[in-house]
Amino acid sequence: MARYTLRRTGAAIIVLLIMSFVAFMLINLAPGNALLAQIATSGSIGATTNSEQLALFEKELGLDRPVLERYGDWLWNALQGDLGKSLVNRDSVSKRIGQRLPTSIELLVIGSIVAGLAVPLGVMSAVRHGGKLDYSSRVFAILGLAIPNFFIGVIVILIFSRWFNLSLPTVPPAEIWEDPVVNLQKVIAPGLVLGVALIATVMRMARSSSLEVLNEDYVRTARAKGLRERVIVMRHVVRNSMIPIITIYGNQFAFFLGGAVIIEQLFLVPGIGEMTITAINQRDYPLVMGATFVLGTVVVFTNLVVDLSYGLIDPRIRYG
Amino acid sequence: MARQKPLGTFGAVILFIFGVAALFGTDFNIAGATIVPGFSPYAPQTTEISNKLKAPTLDHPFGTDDLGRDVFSRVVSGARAAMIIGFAATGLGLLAGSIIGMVCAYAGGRADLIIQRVMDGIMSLPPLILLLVLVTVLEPSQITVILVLIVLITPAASRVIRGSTLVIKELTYVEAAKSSGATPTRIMWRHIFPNVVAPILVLASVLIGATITTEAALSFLGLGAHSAEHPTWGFMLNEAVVRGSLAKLWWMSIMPGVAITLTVLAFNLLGDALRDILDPRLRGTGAGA
Repeated sequence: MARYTLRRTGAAIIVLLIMSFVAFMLINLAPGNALLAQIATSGSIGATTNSEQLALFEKELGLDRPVLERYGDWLWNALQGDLGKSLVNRDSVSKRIGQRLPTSIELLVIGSIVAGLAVPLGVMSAVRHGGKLDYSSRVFAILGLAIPNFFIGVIVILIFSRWFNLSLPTVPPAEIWEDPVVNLQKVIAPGLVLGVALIATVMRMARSSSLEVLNEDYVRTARAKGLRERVIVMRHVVRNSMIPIITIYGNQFAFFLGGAVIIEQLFLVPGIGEMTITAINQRDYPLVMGATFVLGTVVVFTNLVVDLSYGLIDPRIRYG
Repeated sequence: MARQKPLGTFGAVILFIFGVAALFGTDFNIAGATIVPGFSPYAPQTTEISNKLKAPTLDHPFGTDDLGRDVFSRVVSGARAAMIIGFAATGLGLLAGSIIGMVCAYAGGRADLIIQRVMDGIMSLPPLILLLVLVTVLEPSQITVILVLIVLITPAASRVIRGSTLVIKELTYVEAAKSSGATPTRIMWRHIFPNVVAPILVLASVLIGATITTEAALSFLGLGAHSAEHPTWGFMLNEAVVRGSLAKLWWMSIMPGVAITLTVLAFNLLGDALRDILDPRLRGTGAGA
């Protein structure tokens, strides 16, 4: 296990390096350089920029050096926790992300809990295979897979404001450890929407993997020795169908995060997604690069945890 | 057929309706001249301020938006945008992915290793963030959105096709072809490609729906493939959220939202049916969803 953990962590670090390299190249090699975009948006210099000034700016931002060298510098600083400075207001990128990340993580946690509720639903659906519950939950899943999460968000806002006369809380943001009530007000609705959007996927997976387990010999044995159906489901089916469910959660996590970005924008949640979109619109490349790197790291890390959790859930899994 | 796969047939019917809307709904213009006039009652960009914010009526079956534009005509016009992006991005992404996957699996060795690690790198970036960054640095337009969606589809497609090719290239008939002196190109085209068509088609049906949703998400954030004459469903939703009052003007958001949902639903249902027919091993597992 220790060796496997080490090897898997090493692989994750390599993926992170490749990911940061791909992201850096995409952002820096794209046509229309960051400097011109920055000058155009900042308006600090008039339309007529002389080449001398441009060169000065280029030097200041380090854009006169080869891109590989810049990546090396970026990586060296990133390893020490410094993701550079925002082009717009010279804030430390690491600090900005640090301020925004907790809210987004809250959102993801609430969403994950809601999505987790789909597991019992899927298991029930498999146990009552062909029954009314199975049928209706499958119809729900087919529909749920087709509705984009932002449309669910729009419908939720629409219903609440039309029939319950409620609007989004326009309270100032607060950290959860400062004022939990205010903080949760802001994230509970978007968290629910985010989770609901994932329910269909998780339910489908829970259903199909439980169906498979229900056909296993050990379930027949358990029935033959007269165990109650409840015990069979809880002890034999649920536990053995967890692996594929957790795998699908890991696979879906990157999309889940993408969903969080849109939902944050729709519900005006001050998280890292909303910050990233603002940064993209302002062409604040260091901030975009930092946010991309942090979000990518969250995805890679989650998948690492998912991989390592297999051994804990299923003791039969031994790593060579 | 229709009796065995009622859901697949339902999907096909919906897609037929959206296909007709995409093809014949809005005027076909080539170089500014209308070649085939569309059946939708108004042009998607025609404003009629005196008629703004009207709830659905016979004249305007889906109502009008804040500039007095006919929502029905805009939804119909959005069908074309969605289909163009869905088919173009999925088709080209699958083409690139298939070629890369087949060649990598067949060639193997260091090239395969390096290309697969680059694909890993692209796939470990959160897709929406990757799209947002790419679209912004390249300036949003229909072509850009298609291009960046291809960047996103190619690694996933190459992975699947590579897996299938790895199995097929060890089969006896490939060995036979090799021993009779066929070139690698010929083997790939004549012996491997026909055998990966089924997974490619199944993948296509899943990917088109996902591609349309993704484009809608980009448009919803205001970074999609929309323009004044060619509104997209996602951008209409964005306008409804930003400019309209969601509660009072429900038709501005519900209509394009339902259009996205129905299209994706139809592709998913058709894809499920297609998978059952083409790949009996996957029947009923819900794989690929």
